[in-house]
Amino acid sequence: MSDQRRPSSSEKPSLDELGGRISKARHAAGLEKSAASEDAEREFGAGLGAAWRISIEIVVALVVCTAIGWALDYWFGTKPWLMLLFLFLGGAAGINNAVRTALRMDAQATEALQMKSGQRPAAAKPAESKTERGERRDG
Amino acid sequence: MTVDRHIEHSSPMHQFVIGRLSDWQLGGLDISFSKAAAFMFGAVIVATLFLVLTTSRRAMVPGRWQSVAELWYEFIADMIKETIGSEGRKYFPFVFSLFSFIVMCNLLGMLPYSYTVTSHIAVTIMLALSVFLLTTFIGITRHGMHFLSFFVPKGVPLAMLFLVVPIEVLSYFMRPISHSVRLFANMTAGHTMLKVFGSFVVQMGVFGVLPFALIVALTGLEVAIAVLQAYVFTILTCLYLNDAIHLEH
Repeated sequence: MSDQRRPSSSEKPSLDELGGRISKARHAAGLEKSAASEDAEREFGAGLGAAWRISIEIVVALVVCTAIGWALDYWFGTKPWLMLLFLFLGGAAGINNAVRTALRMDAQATEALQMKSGQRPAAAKPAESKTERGERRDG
Repeated sequence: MTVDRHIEHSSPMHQFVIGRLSDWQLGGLDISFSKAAAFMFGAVIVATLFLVLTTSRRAMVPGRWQSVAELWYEFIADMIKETIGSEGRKYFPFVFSLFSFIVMCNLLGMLPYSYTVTSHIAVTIMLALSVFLLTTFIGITRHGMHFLSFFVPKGVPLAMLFLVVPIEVLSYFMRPISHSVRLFANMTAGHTMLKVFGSFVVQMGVFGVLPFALIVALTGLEVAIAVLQAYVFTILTCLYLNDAIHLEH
């Protein structure tokens, strides 16, 4: 990960020792509590980011595809039809991107949860979301 | 440039006008050094100076400033490791530069009297297009014609492919647009809102305290959004790189 540290690999035990001492000191000073409030703050930020990521996906696909359809209509003189077709295609593309983003976030969140607390029984979730994805594709 | 004259100085949109700092012409081309260019250079210089100066001591036990630089580095390194895996390591310089540039542009824009480069879609779409072209290029060079299978999801009946493939292709080409609009819309909306509430403070006299208090809170939120949107832009870059490398959705 860091090439700068590699030359000093002979001192690695001391780094581990230092890490152990730091975590011990943190526990002793009761710093773990502040980490919880930090978590809540980060969760709010992550939620805001997630909301933007997904909502923009739908809006942009819908608007841009409709504009493409309108432009093609203008070109070929087929007034409403291509715009209508691209309106629906754009909606589908937007939902497609949004669902994919959400599924990926879901997978990442469950992975992070599992990493955080190894005994959480969240193993069934990814498989479930995969079948859901298959169904959506067909419909 | 005709827009210049129509927008008054007190308008909340005035802050987005690209002012010229010099008037240069080259063979009929307008190559004037603009405010936008100045702030882009500024972002690059500030990010470079910060990283070079804070890491120049290379202490084994990092000091305050060095640990900020290390956190910055590890933030991106971990992001790449989590989203792409070990194969993403060689794209670290690109992703790191992209993140540093955007976060610096956003944060410099938070300074009073400054200008936010990323509040212009011309800037963000070029950033997004560079990511889009790079990922497409990587996908094609790594997988050749097999790259086209990216648009054909597995397990879809043949009859449905006529509908699904165009949707997949459209979804793919919508990426750079949503990628750029997200950053641009966030920065423009936030800064416009700040300016509007700022003018309320002046107009409302004594009662201006209320919008002033709101501005304090909003400024905090804007700083958070400046970092958050740089993060979102970067993680989406990583996800697109992952798609190109592993050819999976």
